[in-house]
Amino acid sequence: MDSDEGDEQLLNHVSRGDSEALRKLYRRHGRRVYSLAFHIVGDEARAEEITQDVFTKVWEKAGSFNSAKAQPLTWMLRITRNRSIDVWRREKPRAELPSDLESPMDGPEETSVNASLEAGVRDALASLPSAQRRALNMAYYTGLTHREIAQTLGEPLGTVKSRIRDALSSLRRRLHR
Amino acid sequence: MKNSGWDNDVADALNLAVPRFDPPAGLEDKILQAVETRKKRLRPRAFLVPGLLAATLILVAGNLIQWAAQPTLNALKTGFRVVLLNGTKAAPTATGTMILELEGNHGVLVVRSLPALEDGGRYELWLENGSEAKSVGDFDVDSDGYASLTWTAPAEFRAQQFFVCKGSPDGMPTRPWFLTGRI
Repeated sequence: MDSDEGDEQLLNHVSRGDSEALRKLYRRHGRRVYSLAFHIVGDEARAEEITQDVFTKVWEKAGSFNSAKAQPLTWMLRITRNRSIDVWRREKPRAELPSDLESPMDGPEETSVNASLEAGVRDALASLPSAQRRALNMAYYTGLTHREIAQTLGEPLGTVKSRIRDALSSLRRRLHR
Repeated sequence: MKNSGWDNDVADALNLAVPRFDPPAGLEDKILQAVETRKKRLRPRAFLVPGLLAATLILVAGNLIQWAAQPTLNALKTGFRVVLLNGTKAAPTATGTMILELEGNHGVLVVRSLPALEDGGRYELWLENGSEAKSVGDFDVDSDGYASLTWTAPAEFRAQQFFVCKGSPDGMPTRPWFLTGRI
């Protein structure tokens, strides 16, 4: 197995039961998966469990990965978000809301493949008014409905809706620029 | 994606937008151990289908052997053998059952659904041992085509086949045969 193999090739190896290929995927993307899980659930132990679940799922489902629908990392992060939101909802009564995205995405990146995209998102998020960013953060990373967000923030529903809508429009414009 | 309000580009970008945290040092090994355990657990499943097929084959073969051996086993237990006779084209719905001694030369034939012979003739039971045939009795059937016949074969005559045909005045078996059976 070549150390420079792409994610798709690694997934292909994984689908044939190659655990070393899974190790390589983990070394490339484990930090991103763990970070997303941790951002959503806000708990190290839970984030660890979710990361383990995600890579176990990758192990089991690598054969059904469809490169026409997503990149491997995109696919893994979608699994991570869904799994994390499930956990967050289960523990919702005592779960904290995800922290704001104002903090920088620190640390060296695992690969440069998504570097420009990440930089673009970072800039786009930084440019959002904090109220919009906060509403977007809650809506996306918890799966809360607009009404639930409005109740949580004590804001009118219409205000929350327009903040999220405006934040998304800004993000889209920046990403598709 | 669960929340259909998010287009994929934005959603995928947001998944990358979170602050980075280092996972625990032992997590990599924990994941690898978990999948290795699953691999070992799943390994038998790779043999499950062939294993089931083999088991089914053994079961079927066992049953077939038992089924094939059953008459012999029954014969050994009871001292009698049962042979089924099937109707030919001349009497497709007719059936017959022969019960004969394993060591002796006596037997009983019971037939059903044999057509009545229009010219008033009688049916005849013939035994064949592979080289010669002998008639061991004749019979009429009732309106349901039912009849029974107790017969005795000549000494040392070991029948291998049975057939029922219309009796003939010259003492020779005639075509067509109405029922046939083989030991």
